[in-house]
Amino acid sequence: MFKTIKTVRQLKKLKKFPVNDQFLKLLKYRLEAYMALNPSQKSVIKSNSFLFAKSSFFPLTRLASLPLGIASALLIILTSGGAAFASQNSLPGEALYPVKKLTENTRLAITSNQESKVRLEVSFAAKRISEIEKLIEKNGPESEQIEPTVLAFEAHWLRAAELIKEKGDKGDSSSALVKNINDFLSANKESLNQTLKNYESLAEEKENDLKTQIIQAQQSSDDSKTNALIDDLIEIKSRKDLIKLKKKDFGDVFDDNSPKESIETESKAEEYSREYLLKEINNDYYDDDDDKYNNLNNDANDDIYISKENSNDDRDSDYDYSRERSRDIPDFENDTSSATSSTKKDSEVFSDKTDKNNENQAWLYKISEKEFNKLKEEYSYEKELEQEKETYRENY
Amino acid sequence: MKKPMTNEKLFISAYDEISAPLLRHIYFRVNNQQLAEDLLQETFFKTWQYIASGEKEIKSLKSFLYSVANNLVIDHWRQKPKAPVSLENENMEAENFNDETSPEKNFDRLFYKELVQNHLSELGDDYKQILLYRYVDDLTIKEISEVIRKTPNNISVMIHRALKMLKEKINHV
Repeated sequence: MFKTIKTVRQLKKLKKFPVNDQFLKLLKYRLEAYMALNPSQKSVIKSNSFLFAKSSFFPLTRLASLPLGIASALLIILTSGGAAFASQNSLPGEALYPVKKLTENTRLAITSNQESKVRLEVSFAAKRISEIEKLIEKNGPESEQIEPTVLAFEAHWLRAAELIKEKGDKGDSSSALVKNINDFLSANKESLNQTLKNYESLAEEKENDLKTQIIQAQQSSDDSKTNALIDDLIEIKSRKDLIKLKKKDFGDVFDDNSPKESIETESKAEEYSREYLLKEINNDYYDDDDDKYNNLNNDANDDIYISKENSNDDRDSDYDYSRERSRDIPDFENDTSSATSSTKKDSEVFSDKTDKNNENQAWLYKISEKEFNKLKEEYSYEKELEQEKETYRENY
Repeated sequence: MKKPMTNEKLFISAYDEISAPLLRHIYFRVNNQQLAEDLLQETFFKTWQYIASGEKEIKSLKSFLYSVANNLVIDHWRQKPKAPVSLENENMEAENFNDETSPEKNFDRLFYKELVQNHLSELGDDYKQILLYRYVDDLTIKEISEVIRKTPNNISVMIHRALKMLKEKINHV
C-alpha cells in the first residue's frame, strides 16, 4: 500500500537533477545566431503551449504553490467572493479545483491539534475518493485526472497514517478512527468496483462486436476495412486493459492484504500488434466452428480427424485433399471417389454424414472454399504440432 | 526589419522554458552528458530548420521538440546498437562535476544516477521513456501520445505497468 506515491515522488526528484547551465547559455547564443542567419518566412507555430499555460491558468495553478501567508490572504479574498464555497464541488482538472485544494491546505496549516489533523486528512482522502467516482461517471474510466487523484488520495492517507504513528498508540480515539476509515473504504470500494465492472462489460461487448465485423471484412477480403477495424479493436483492448488495471489499482489502494491472484492479468504488450490480433480472432472463430461442429455431429469430428492424419502424410496429397473436398461440397449426392486414397476416405466420411442427417449437410453447404482452406490450415497446423510432440516423445 | 518576429520569439521562449528539462530528459535516456548535449543542440537546430522551411504548421512546439529529441535518441541507439558505456567517459564526467559543483550536489547526482541507472534503465527504454515523460517532464497523456504516437489509452496502460515494475525494483533492493 502507498508504494506507488512513494515511487512517483522518487521519480519526481529527478526533476532537480542538475544540468550544465553554461552549456545551455552557450547553446542559446549559437541558436540565436543560427536563427538570424536562417530567418523564417511564414509563421508556422500555431500556439506555444508554454505561453498558453502561463497566461490562461495563472493564477489558479500557481495558487496552491504560493507561500502560506500569501495564500491564506488570497483565500480570504476569494472566500468573501464565494469562490471558495463554489469550488467545493469542483472536480480535478476544472478551473476552481486549485481553490478547493488551497482551502484544504489552509485548513490543515491552521490546525495544530494532531488528532483533528488526522481527521482532516482522512476527510480529504474521502473527498478524493468521491471525486474519483464522479470523474469516472463524468469522463469515463480513461479520464486523465483519475491517476493524480488516486495519488492525492494516497498522499492524504499516508500523512494520516504517519500522524497516527507519531502520536503513538495512545488510545481508543485513533483506533476507532481507523475502524471508521476502514468501513468507509470498503463501502466505497464496492461502488467503485461496480462502476468499473459496468465499463468493462461495455468494452467487452464492443470488442466482440468488432471481432465479428473483422471476420466479415476478412471474408469479403476488404483489407483496408479490416485494418481500420483492427485499429479500433486495439483501442478497445487497451481500454479494457486500462479498466482492469484501474480495478487492480483500487484494489491495491484499498486493502492491505487483499488476495491478488483473483485479479486477472492484463494483456501483454505484444498482444497489441495487428498480426497477433488477427491470428487470435481467427483462432477464436474457428474454435467456435469446432464447437458447432461438435454439437451437430459428434462422430463426424473424429472421422475428419483421422482422415486428416492420413492426408497429411505428404504435402501434395494434403493439397489435393482440400481442393477435392471443397469441390465435393456442392454435390454430395454424386460422390466422386476418384482421388487419392486419403481423399477417398475423406469423401466417404462426408457421404456418410449426408446420409446421417440433413442438418449437418445444411451447415456444410454454407462453408465457402476459402474458409475450408483456412480450416484445413488449422488442422494441418495441429497435426504438425502432434507430430512434433510425437518425435519428442520418441527421442526422450 | 520587417520580418515576422513571432516565430523567433516563440522559439526562444520555448528554449528558455524547455532546454533544461529536455537536456535532463535526453541525459536520462542516453546516460552520457556529452552525448546528451550534442543531441539537445541537434534537436533545436533541426527544429529551427523545419520552422524556417515553413512547410507545415506546428501545433504544439513542446510536443514537437520532444518528438524530435526522441527520434534523435532512437537514431543514436540504432547507429550503435550495443555501444557500451565506456569507463573513461564515466570518470571524465565525475571529474567535471567535482570541479563545478558542491559536494552536496555531487551526492545528489550520485543518488539520481543510482535511481536512473539501476532501476529505470532496467525497465527498458519504452517504459523508462514514458515514466520520464509523465513524472519528470510533466507532459500530459495527450502530449505523450503526440510524441510517441500511441493511443492515450495505450499510454495509460504503459504508465501503470512501468510504475508497477519500478515499484517492485525499488522494493527489492
